[in-house]
Amino acid sequence: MSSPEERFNELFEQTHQALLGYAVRRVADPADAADVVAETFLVAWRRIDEVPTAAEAKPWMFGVARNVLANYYRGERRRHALDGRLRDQLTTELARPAPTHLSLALAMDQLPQGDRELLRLVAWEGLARDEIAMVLRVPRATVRVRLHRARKRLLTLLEDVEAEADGGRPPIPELVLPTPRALTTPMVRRAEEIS
Amino acid sequence: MTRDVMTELSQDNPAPEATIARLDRRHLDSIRTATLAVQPTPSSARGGRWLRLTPRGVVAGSLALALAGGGVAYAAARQGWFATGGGAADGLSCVSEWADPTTTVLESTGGPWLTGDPIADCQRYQQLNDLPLLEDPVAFRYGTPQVYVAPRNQVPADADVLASGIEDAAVFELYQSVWDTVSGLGAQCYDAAEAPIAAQAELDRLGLADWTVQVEQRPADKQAGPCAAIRFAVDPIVEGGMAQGPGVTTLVVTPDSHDDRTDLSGAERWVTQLRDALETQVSDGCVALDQAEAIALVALGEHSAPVTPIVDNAASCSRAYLLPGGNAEITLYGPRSSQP
Repeated sequence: MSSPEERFNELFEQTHQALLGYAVRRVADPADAADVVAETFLVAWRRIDEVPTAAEAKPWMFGVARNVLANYYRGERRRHALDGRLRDQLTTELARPAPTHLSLALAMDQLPQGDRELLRLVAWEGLARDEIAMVLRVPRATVRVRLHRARKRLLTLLEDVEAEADGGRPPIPELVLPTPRALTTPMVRRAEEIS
Repeated sequence: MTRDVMTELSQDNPAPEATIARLDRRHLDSIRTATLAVQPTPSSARGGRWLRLTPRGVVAGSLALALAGGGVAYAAARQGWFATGGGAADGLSCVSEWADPTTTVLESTGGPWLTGDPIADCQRYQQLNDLPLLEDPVAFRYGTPQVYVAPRNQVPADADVLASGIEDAAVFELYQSVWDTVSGLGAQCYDAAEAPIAAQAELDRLGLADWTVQVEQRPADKQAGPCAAIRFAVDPIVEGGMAQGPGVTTLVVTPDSHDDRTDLSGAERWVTQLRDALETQVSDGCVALDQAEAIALVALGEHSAPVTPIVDNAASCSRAYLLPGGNAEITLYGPRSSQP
């Protein structure tokens, strides 16, 4: 049987890149992703005996990261004592590009947050349905139904946005593009769906 | 032909895997290094379970030490970043109106545990945010290690209600000591002979007569180190003091199994400087609590971290605990004024 350190190292190797990508895509400042990832691994280390092995490890970690991100969205910035070079690198190399598909970005922004996250878990994180069920802690059948509905809603919204653009109407004013959204509300927080 | 919006969305990924993969791996390893510098708490050692639907009757009042009330406004200004947001995965979230956190981001205050009493800590977080105190508060878990505090009439029916926090303030201080990097148990590098003596001395100092020290040999598959590891058999924060059965009040000493944490390798420079200031000016300086708090805030500089002063008028000097690893958390115990 491997030691906790070995299990943690294995977990780190298996998930750090996916977790970093997951975090970077969901925070306002890419440098903050380092704290989200560090916090996620700290939770995993403290609960190393409970981390599932093999294929279930990644969705388990995503579930932890999702909780960490929920706190981040609430305004808590749990700053970790990390090497500053990591933050610098994330800032310089992962500067967030403007959306290449503006209509899609606008349509995504009009979706409920739960739909948005579900679609991103599939399209950006490449998670399978059963993995998403683990992350969101819902039955697999629920994922299937929600995904079907979310995809339809996105398609409808996308077609509406494109129709408006074709009709010469200006895009919706003051619309915040989907990355990052509403992450900087340290004192005034609002309830927002996250699943 | 149906339009494939999922493919379009995939192609609009703001940080594709290839971009992530190009990052310098050495920098990412700082996360691994910093994490492994923290002692884990094996869940297999945990026992018991949080009580189910047994709401607490009153705010836990058994803390032997009272939270220092002075300087709250100043502290709020300096610590606002952590107090406004709610707890982390193993922290506290204080809510006046409950909603299912799996579907809703709660409006909350909170952060790390400050004293071991979740209700007292949440009332402090409310205070730091200039919000009304929670009425008839109850602490509970809702499917994760995170602890919530909400008014009794807001507690969901399927919550695991926490019958107590760490009601004994001494246990919370023991927790601080075990994880400390200034001068507590966690800050020392003990050999096999010294470690159990030091652990027992700490239990004696804190008056924890029902606690025991258990020495375990390092498993063959565990990496050797120059220092003894001293850890809880059952984590009093994660389990909230609710664990039952043998071993709950046990410190486990494993000789020759831990790296020397005194160098704080992997930490940023300001954390090391903060540790040094707390050690030389507070622990070695024999100052009153107000001075200790001022020293901590000056040493923090532009950085933010929770600083919790706790009055202990029985002490002649203040003592400081610094817990990095998560964020840097500072807890100070000491007399309101210097003793002659």
